[in-house]
Amino acid sequence: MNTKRFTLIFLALIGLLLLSGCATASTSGSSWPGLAADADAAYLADGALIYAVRLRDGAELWRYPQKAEAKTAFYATPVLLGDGRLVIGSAGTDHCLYVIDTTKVAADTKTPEATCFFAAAKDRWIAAPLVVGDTVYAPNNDGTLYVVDLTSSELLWSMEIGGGGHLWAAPTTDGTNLYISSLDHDVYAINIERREVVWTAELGGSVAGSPSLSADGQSLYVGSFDSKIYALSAADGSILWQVDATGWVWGSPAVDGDVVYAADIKGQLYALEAATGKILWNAQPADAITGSPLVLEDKLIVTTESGNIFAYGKDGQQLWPAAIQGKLYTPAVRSGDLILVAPLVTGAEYYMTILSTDGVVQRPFKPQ
Amino acid sequence: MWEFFISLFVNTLLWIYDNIGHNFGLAIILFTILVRLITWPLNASQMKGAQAMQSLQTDKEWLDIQKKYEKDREKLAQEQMRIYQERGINPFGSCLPMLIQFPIIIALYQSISRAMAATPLGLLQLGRSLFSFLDVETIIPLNSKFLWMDLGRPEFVMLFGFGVPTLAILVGLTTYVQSKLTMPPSTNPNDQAAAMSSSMAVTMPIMMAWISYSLPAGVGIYFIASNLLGIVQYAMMGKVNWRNLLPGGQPTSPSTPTRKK
Repeated sequence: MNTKRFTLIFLALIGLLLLSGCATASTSGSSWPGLAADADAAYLADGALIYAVRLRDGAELWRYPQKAEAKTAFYATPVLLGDGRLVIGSAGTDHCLYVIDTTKVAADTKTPEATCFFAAAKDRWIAAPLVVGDTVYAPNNDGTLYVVDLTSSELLWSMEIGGGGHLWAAPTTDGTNLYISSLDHDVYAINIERREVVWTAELGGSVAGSPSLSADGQSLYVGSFDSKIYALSAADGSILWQVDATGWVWGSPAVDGDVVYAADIKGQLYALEAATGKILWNAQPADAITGSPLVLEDKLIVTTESGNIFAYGKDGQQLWPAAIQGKLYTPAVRSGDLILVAPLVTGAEYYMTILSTDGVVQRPFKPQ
Repeated sequence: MWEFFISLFVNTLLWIYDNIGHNFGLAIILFTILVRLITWPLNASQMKGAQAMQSLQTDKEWLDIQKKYEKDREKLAQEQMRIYQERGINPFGSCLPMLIQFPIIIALYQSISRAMAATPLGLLQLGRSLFSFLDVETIIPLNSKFLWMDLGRPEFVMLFGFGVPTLAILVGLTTYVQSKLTMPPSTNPNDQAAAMSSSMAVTMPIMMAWISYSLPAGVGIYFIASNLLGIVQYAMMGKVNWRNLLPGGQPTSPSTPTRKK
């Protein structure tokens, strides 16, 4: 009788432990790698750590923090400034916006100088910030845009946007307005000087990617979870045209002169005439595409969920495919003649792979 | 199979959410009621099994054979089986239903977490989990505000400059009340099983409160609703010992063991 009771209690405790364990697992197993690069190094934000990787040989230069901490997690793309500093928000419980100086790395610990310069947000940072000069425009998951001075760490102003919905995408700016998309189905234009919402464009679904501005600054292009690609007037937010996709459009459309490239999670890639939305060509390289297409001089690169990387000529001809182990959810990043991709670590041996622009794998990166 | 199970839970939860004016807290409560109704026979069987096993602890014949065959384990086992059979008691009657409920509780937790889609990957998974009868475009993002809480985040209320986890405290309290109210009666001061139950009545609420403290508030809402519904079910079956809640209150036996004729 007592043995049975003990067994029951033991099972109950194991169950509870499993249940509480699920909480940690669900966070750590759901990273969304972000990449930035300069000519010599790549900066990979993945899970609880940020790695600096030398592109020449794939060696790890440093990592931050030195050891993974439960309070820190990175889902956002790091923003690399001209002076070698990285700005990134944490999706962990610390709610910190970090600035990391890649030029100041301790020789003994191989850890860069890093500061949490703003920690007053109520929620996590999933969106990358926009940094203009010394001003950081950072949309938070709590639905507020925080504007912080990078040097003094002073909160310059903040604004709750819409109903305080989730802001997951970096803002875009033309110098006068900030354009911010939200999962609450809206795109907002905020006048920077007057600090007020100029217009709101209501779309049919959530917008997870940043709006892309046309070269002349007249139009904005966004994709939505209502399976549509939109062109909005930057002046008043009116819909200029919309094109049906086959599934959610997650990543930001990429603008290349008169052509807009966008992709959906059913795996369709579209080349659209920027002025009219006319479909110039479309292709289905493989499966889900959540990252934005990367536009190079003569081609564009898309990554797919199954770990494939495809290059397309600007006429829609497939130039090459390449494959890596792991799932690719975030876009490829360019560094000179190299392309960098970072898969979801779960199920992948390498955290990042470096390819040439003609699709040949140069070297993978795995933390030591 | 497990994925389908989770998917079914998520879709039911979101169907309720979509039909009650996009209130996720209320959806969790209604969903908990639905799950409790479906698992009612299991819970009832567990309660009856536990009660029957507990009643044996004070039964004269049961105590007699414990003494009589103290040194003959095989004979004791045979006699125990005889009593089980005579009284229609399944010795695993309280254990099996509880084991069956474990996957349900874990699936519930995973469903609530998935529905709240707090990460990009979570949102992608959620989009793929939804059946076609749900209008995905209008459902996402979920309105995670309920009363003073954001159901997607661990809850606390600032009081005098301190963050007080009120929901975790409520989870602990309701777990404690449920344990006390449903604690089987025992008149035997040497009853080790009863002593264990008393000890569990203290440790479980602390553990549940600690777990709720670190999980999104939505899961805490589920725990509270589930505890309250458990008390209701016990009350409807006439198994609640209300006196257990009184300070120094002695447990009363709501039912006395009866022999099957």
